[in-house]
Amino acid sequence: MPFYPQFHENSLDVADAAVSAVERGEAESEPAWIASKLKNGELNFAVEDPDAPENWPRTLVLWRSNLFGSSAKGEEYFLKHLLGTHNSVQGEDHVASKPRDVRWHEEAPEGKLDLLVSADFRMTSSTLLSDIVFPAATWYEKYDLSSTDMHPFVHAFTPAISPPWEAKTDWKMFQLLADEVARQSRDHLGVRKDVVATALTHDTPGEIAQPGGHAPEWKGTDLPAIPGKNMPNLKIVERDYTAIGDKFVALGPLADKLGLTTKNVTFDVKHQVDQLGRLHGVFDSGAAEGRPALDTDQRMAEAILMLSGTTNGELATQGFETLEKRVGKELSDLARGSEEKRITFKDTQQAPVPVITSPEWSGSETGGRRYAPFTVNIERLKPFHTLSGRMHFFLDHDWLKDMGEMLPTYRPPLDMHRLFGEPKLGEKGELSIAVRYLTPHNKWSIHSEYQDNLFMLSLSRGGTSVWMSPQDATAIEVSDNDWVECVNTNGVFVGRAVVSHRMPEGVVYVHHAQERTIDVPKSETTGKRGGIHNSVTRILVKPTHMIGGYAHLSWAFNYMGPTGNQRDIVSIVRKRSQEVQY
Amino acid sequence: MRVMAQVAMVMTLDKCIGCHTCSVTCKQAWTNRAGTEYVWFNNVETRPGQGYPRRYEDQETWKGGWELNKRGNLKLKSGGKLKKLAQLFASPVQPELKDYYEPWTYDYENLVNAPAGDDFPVARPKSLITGEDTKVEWSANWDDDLGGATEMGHLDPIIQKLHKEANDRIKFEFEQTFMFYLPRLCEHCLNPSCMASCPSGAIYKRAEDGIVLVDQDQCRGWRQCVTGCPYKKIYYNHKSGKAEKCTFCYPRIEVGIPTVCAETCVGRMRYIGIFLYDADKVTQPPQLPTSRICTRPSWTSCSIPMTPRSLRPLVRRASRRTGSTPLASRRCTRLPKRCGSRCRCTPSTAPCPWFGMCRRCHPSWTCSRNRGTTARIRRTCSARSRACASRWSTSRSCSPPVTPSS
Repeated sequence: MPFYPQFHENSLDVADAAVSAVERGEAESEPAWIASKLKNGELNFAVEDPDAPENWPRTLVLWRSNLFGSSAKGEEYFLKHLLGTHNSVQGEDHVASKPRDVRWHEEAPEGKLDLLVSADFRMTSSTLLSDIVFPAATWYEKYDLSSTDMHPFVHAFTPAISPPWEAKTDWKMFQLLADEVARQSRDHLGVRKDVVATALTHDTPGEIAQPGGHAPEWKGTDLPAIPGKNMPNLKIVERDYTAIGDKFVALGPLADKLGLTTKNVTFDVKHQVDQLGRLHGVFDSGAAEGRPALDTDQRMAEAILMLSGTTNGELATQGFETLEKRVGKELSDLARGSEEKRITFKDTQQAPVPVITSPEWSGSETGGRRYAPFTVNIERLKPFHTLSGRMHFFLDHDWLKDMGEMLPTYRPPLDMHRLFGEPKLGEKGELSIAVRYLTPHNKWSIHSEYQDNLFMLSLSRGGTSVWMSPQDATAIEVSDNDWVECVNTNGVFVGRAVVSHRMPEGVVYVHHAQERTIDVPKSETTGKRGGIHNSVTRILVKPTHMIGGYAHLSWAFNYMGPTGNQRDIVSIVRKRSQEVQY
Repeated sequence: MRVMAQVAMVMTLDKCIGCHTCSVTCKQAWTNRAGTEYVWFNNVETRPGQGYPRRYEDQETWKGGWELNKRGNLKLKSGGKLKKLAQLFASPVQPELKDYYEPWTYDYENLVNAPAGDDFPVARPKSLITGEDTKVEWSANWDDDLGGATEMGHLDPIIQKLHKEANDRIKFEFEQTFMFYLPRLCEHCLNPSCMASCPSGAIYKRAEDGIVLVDQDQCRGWRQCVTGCPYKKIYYNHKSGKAEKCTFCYPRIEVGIPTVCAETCVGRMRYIGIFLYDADKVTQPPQLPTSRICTRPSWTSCSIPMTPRSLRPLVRRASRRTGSTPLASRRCTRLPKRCGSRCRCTPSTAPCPWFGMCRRCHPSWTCSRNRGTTARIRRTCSARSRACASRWSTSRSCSPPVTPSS
């Protein structure tokens, strides 16, 4: 999996050292040199020591995200260690389960981040914590594209008004940032070489580099460390930091040079790049000289539509022809009739436009069908992107063998009492009871969006809520709408009880997402503001989800990775004083 | 026979997902202003539940709708002309704001303007009526999804009646959970009891499409209409002092586009169309024996799951029926409430246990859960409405509510 930072030394310096070493004849190639340093321990991956200051993330930019009000599972740990601010972590470190290889620091660091930047149009738990907040445009104030596999259409955002006051569209925000970083880079960074380590990625040769599911260790053994085989691919790239602004608004040369590859189908887009150049014009000077301009958000949207087979029939046809040669099955007919069809941004502004069937996706919209995944695999017998090319349950990786999970099998919820010292399920205290703590999606919001909307709040309970069964409510002498607190080693949540027979005994629902901005009083447990729904959770990574570099168990962007599992959480729910302080 | 047209809306409750988009879009369009903060022309209730305003269907308390006098003619339950005149300035039977809910907002400004402090700033709830800090204790939809049902579910007037008449304790237990969403708006009744209640004559029913409106110039704020409506779908604007209600989006209807609620409905469960009816029959007393009438559902729901295809036979049936069948006839019970042909001439104040969703949510199912025995259903719910049972138990298999265990 990718990890940033990559090494315990600045990757720009590592690149310089590698280049010099190769020039001096000490190694055949930069990747080889870097691999040897990793092998002998002179260079380390940052993931081996994430608590060391040189390996901390220093800047966090939240865009279209409400990390500290919604998605941060283990919110209080984020507040404590990442931000170094007030937090309600109740438990201690679990020294008993120290890792073997990752370096353990006696004192866990607090406040790793130097700078937190967010962009939003409402005051969220994240913007309240941010050092800098960029006011953002809303959906009706910008140009953009929208699509999903839930429906076969692509359509546009079109502004009804310009962003008011100082608010900016996302595109403008990043474009201005790019220009500013470029400007400051003249004194600080200039042109540098960098190392990019890419995980052994799905649909690349890396995923079959170690057959049989065996992944023997190269660190501390006789086995060599070979990039692309048993460790990440390593590549030296050049970064002209002073040109970031110029490059942001142009389509770069690698598009025509290398083509665009999705799921191992490479599209030759020279014709499309040429069309874009004639459509938008090309820059006559600077780092993007000769390259098509993408200097407005509309042009960016147009470029996306031009370069995707789903909106450019020529590319869909080409892609299917490429794929046909590889898999030996008839596929081009799926895009027949759309060879000359091109969906433009203006088209999407008139009305949602049905997409063209294209090899980037496994469904078919041909003939008015609706998307279902793996249609092409089932109906046309295109191989699945699995080890065997078929659908299969059996997986032969060593780690799965160790876990006894080479076939799917039942696994009970984790024993949170034994592992983390949480109370046993059903254990009663004074007006408290230990229950499963689940965070299903909220009916009254889309994650945290709209959870502060007055209509939504007027149609619900008007603030944070905890759904519980009548049995549990009776056990802790709680009536409907009483204030309660959910407390465990991870943190504290304060809300009002919704008592309903729809809830099974032993489970509470604290819906995702409920921030700490609307009607959240001080907690009786901590004396500080109650937390968000994710203040009571923490992520528990399943070890088998970390298997990489093996067939379809390989990382790829937007494809697969360890899930943010927090379904086994146990918390106590207790009645608290009905007199609340704000 | 006077054939008149009524624009109507049929709602297939099967498809209602309780998303409340209809409520929000209607509110945003029509009642998003001072004086109407607590007003939702369209609201969606979870049943069992008390509804909005609370227990509005309890006509013994609220005196809404019509009943039959000694001579068998229709009269307003809230009283005749003399009684109304005597109480004109008192208006004694009124839901108060607390029966709806006290609307509130939040101190959102505090999130932006709070001075540097040692803890997160928070937006506290503030009453929209007094402007003071307030505690949220009731909302426009408090018992959504059966929240609080174990404590308050018995306050649903229908559940209460069932407890009494069917001698069947509705169990609010996990394994016996049943519910459905009930979107409600003004019925635009054929014989509107709100219109009949208004001392000023400010309420009128349009001749061209049957939409019932309040003339804001004529309205004097007597609020008799609020009492008169058995569905409590006409509201008092506390700023203007006048009554307001759902207008069936008549500016949109007039140019041929649907109501806002229908257009924005996510579940696509609302159908708008025209019914023809015999205006002469509207005020005639129903022909059926009292016990029959007393069981007529006094509140609305499009209880019949319908597809657009079935609308056509209905219109035919409706137009066939005009002039031939008394309005409150047996066959009428098949027609969905919202078609308007079932006006609020229902003299009944006894809520019918037949929510109309026999197929899904009838409480008696708890008894005949695994058998699907229609016989039991006939005894309880269809003692009221044989037409219902005969239609529904045969044409669709009465299946028990789906619970996790089954």
